Amino acid sequence: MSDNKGTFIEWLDARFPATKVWKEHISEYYAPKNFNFWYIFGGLAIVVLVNQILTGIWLTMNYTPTAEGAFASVEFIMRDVNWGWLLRYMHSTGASAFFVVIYLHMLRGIMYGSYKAPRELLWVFGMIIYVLLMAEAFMGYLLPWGQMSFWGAQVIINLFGAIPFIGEDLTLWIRGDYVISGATLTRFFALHVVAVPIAIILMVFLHLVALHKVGSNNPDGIEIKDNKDENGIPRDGIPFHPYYTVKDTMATVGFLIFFCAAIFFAPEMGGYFLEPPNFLPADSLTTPDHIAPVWYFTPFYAILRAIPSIAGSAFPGVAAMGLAIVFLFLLPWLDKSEVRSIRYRGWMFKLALLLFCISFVILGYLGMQQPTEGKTLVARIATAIYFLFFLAMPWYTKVDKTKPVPERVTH
Amino acid sequence: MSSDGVVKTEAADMGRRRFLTTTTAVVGAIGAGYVAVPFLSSWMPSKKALAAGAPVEADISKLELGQAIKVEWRGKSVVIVRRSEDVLNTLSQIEDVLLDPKSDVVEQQPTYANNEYRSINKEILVLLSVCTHLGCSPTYLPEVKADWSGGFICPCHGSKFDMAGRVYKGMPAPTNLIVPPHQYLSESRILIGVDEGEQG
Amino acid sequence: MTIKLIMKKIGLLLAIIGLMTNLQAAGSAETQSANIRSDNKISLQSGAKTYMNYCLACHTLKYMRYETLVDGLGISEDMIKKNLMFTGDKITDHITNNLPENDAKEWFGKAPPDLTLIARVRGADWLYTYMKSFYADENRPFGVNNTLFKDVGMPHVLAPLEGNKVKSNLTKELESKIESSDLGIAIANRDNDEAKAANQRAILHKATEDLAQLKHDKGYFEIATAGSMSAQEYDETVRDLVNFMDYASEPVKLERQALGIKVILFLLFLFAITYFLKKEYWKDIH
Repeated sequence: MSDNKGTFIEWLDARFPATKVWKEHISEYYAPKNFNFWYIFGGLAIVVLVNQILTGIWLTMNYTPTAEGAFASVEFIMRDVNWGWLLRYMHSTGASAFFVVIYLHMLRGIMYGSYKAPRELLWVFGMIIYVLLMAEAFMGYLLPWGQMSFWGAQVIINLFGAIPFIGEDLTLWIRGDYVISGATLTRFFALHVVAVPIAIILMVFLHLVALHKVGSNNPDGIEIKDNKDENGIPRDGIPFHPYYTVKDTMATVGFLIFFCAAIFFAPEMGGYFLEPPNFLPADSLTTPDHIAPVWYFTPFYAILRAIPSIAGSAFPGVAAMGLAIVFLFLLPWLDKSEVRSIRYRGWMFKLALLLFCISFVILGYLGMQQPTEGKTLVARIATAIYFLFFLAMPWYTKVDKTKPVPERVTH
Repeated sequence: MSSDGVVKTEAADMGRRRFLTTTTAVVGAIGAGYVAVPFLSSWMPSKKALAAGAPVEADISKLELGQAIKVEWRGKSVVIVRRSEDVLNTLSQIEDVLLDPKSDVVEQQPTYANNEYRSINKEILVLLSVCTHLGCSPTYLPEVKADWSGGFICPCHGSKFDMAGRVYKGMPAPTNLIVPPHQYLSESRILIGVDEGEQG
Repeated sequence: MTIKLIMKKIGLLLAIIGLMTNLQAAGSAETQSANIRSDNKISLQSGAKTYMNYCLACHTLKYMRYETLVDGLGISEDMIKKNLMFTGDKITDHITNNLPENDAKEWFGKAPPDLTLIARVRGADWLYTYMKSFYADENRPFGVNNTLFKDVGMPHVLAPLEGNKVKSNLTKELESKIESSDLGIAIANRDNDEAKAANQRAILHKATEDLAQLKHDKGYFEIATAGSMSAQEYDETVRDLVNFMDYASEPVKLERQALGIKVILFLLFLFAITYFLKKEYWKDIH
């Protein structure tokens, strides 16, 4: 700590709120001291985002965004570019890792009531990021221009055709052609590489601003700001730095062990991360035996397929799929409980959440399968449970017998 | 900075903290260094670029006296000329009109071509047909005239080079034409791109 | 959360990943296990030779360069030039052939696909079973059919090695029984004859079981005309060929796995350090 450093920081602070920001948001920003395992996923999401951006930029250096050249350029990256194979696997594994992290991050929010007032906007910003992420993944998957890229996009975009009145024109506008073609590829490339990443980064920033305004929730669901000492510091709070910088560093390394295990030993992950049909170049004349979206979309795909067509229109299924996500946005207002955390909720909420999670996983599994009568029946039941979680919530969260909430955090 | 006995830093072992922090930072930095390798290394020429930049074989079995042939190596033109005895004799006579007659600028030719003929085999001249002024391809003009003993003239800005690729005085070009790395696989086959004595 | 619990969870997750990497290895009901050894360079060399001699004329490996085989197969450039390449090609060239696509479409109905990545599409087990499932079928343009890929447009290129197989008489008998009892069940159901349906179902069940046993005992096919290789030699040839195709689909695989071990070990070491760092600082918190 020589004088030189001191003067530099003074020089900087006179021109930029460096020390102010450092103190306000890191070294003197107080977070609840009882963060558990479920609280690592926000930080991990940032790690995965950085991974996707860096590896994505590097892939763009050698990728050819045309229908004629795309597939071959991916193999060029895999074989001819030094370390290209690693950059590719980091990006493909990262995409799936992003959804694993985000789903667990969202589950934490639901378990501990992190979406409840005053954090409704924080939750809504997070949901916007989730929707952007789904768009980003969907468009990214077209880029390798494999059979699954092509036909998966064909099926999903055709769904928009089911929207009444505007459907056909809408799909033509999205595709830029009568079928998925190079026109679709080039625009998806621009959106995937530039527009949506910028939107995601912006929303992540706003998400953190909203978080820091109200402060984090915690596993006990109580407000640490309600209990401050004579210096105005929450009694159950600890400075983010060094305690959570150090803990999140450890969590990141732990995460990297699994992440790298996948990259180096199972990049295809049994066909779930890199799907076998996608190693065939896109062929508009040959439809693969089995078209399914990538694993992280299958729960919503299962809901789509579970709803039967009405009067020849597939729109009800499309609408249900959309509603499945819209309801997530509405959670802060559907939940009428006075109690935030599952720790102090009654059996009704616990059961409802358990059923919701099970139905989500079952739907996810079913979305990968070819539909049969039996599977469709199960999908319909699971869809009903999924929606009941939201629809019945205003009732069961109100009548549920909750436990007394502690004054101070417990563990 | 303490809050209700939650944070007690007084009893902390600062030495251990410093040690652990430093160790984490050092090992982390090593890890970061390794992670940087794929990103930086991916900028090195790909196998495709290396294939395109691979050494090129030239067959001079049918090259007649005074004739020049061109081959492409690394996207550039390489000219190969079979010089007559007369031409070789002229080389030492015109030294006073040349800027660098003794090839003092060593970057322009490999050591095995740093001699009076600027070649391995005195009969065969191998040059990069790239003018050292601004990169145009000099034209081969072997016909001896009153004031011209044969050589190359660049069409772009008029730089003149002799039959060993040496630049004349007062030209826009500052240095002799470059002799590329090359070796003889046999009397009639030249491998351009690999130095004499090295493996391709 | 205790260390024990963390370790258990980590172990479970790693086991899941381990399981996933082996998902292809077991072979499904239809396919047999290829049991390829990716690190067996002799096998890869043999497979490369078979591929160049029998397959390359129609099927390119256009995403792979010949020079990849130097390290991958452990052989010199000269060996590759002499044994595996057409004259005139450079070692850095991609592995293509001179089959004009339009002619190919005319001769085969469909241009023979490039096979560089086929092992990542179908899996080694499928490819292995495929090459062993050709049998004589006079109704097909090339006189052969394939039990794994029905009505395939490809001739049995390796017939000189394997010989020509036909379905054995017992196979034909059982398959005929299965077909007729299937039909019998449908008819019985239509006629509401429960007794007959049950009878037909029993026949179907036994015939299906017997057929499975026959397949297991390798009695499904019999050799009509012998090839130059014994069954075991052919089996090994196909295995080597599939090993080579698996290699071609991802030449970097062994390097990837070797590097992975180093990466995981480094991360475990770094995790231990960051764990102690975290524990040290969190002594402050009560």
